[in-house]
Amino acid sequence: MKRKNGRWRDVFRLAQGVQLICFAAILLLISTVLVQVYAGAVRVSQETKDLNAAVQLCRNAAEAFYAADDLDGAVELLGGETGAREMHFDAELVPAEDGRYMLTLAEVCTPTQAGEMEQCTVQVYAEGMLLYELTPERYCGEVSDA
Amino acid sequence: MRRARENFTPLFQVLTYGVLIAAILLLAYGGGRLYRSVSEARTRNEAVRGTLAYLQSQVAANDAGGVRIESGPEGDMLVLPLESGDYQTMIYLSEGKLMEELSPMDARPDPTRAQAISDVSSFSVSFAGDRALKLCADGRIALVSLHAEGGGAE
Repeated sequence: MKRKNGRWRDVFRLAQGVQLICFAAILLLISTVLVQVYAGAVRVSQETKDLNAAVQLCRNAAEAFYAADDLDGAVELLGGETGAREMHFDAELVPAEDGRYMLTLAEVCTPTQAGEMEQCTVQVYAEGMLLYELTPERYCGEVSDA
Repeated sequence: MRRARENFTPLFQVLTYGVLIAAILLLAYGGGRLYRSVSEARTRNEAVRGTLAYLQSQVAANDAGGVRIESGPEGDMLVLPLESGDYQTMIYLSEGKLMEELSPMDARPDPTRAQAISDVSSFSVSFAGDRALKLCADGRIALVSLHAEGGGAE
């Protein structure tokens, strides 16, 4: 009888040990999933923030392009130096040398029968990845040959 | 000796379970904090982006009558006179809210008659060059091109 009790005690201990291991494994699994979900949430949040900033920067550049006489004027309105075609902005969209967002401007003039169309390609990058692109156009009128 | 070992085993298990449960609670707490910070950042982002986009659209749609920058209740006030010349739209900061008010020409701003656009802590306006307006809300900058030089104000 005494021997039988001892065997049951061993079985009971083994069951407790297995239960503990299962509990730890489930906890590890839950932790892994949660950490992945948290990391994903942070990444999506940063992507959304980047896209918001990129859209706003592109819109600002397009408005500057419409307001200025030429691309240099647009760059000056955006806070850059004359002649620059690449600018960096921080998270508050203020020009900064080591800003996260890089804005590039490229101009193409297309002659038409009734004058010239000026097209500006505005692109915003973050960490080398293109976030957003906008191509505003404006009519420049007749260009004299002289 | 054997009895002491038998007593120790359940205590060890209880402690282990306690540690594991504490780890779960800690993870849940961290998740809660993370969710709150992400949610706050998203709300702030949306508010500022929405405010600037709204202001840009308002100026682009209503600058035909000229644009003026005056002194408002708390800093700059953007004044967009209607083309008819009888009324004007005033946009200004008041008690942490950006207000929009349609009033007769040359009336003083009255926040009690204005409509709140959004919650912002700072707002400023300035002309950038001859044909652009620089709007700044909560430190974020937006440019708007104007149809007339110098805002067209007389």
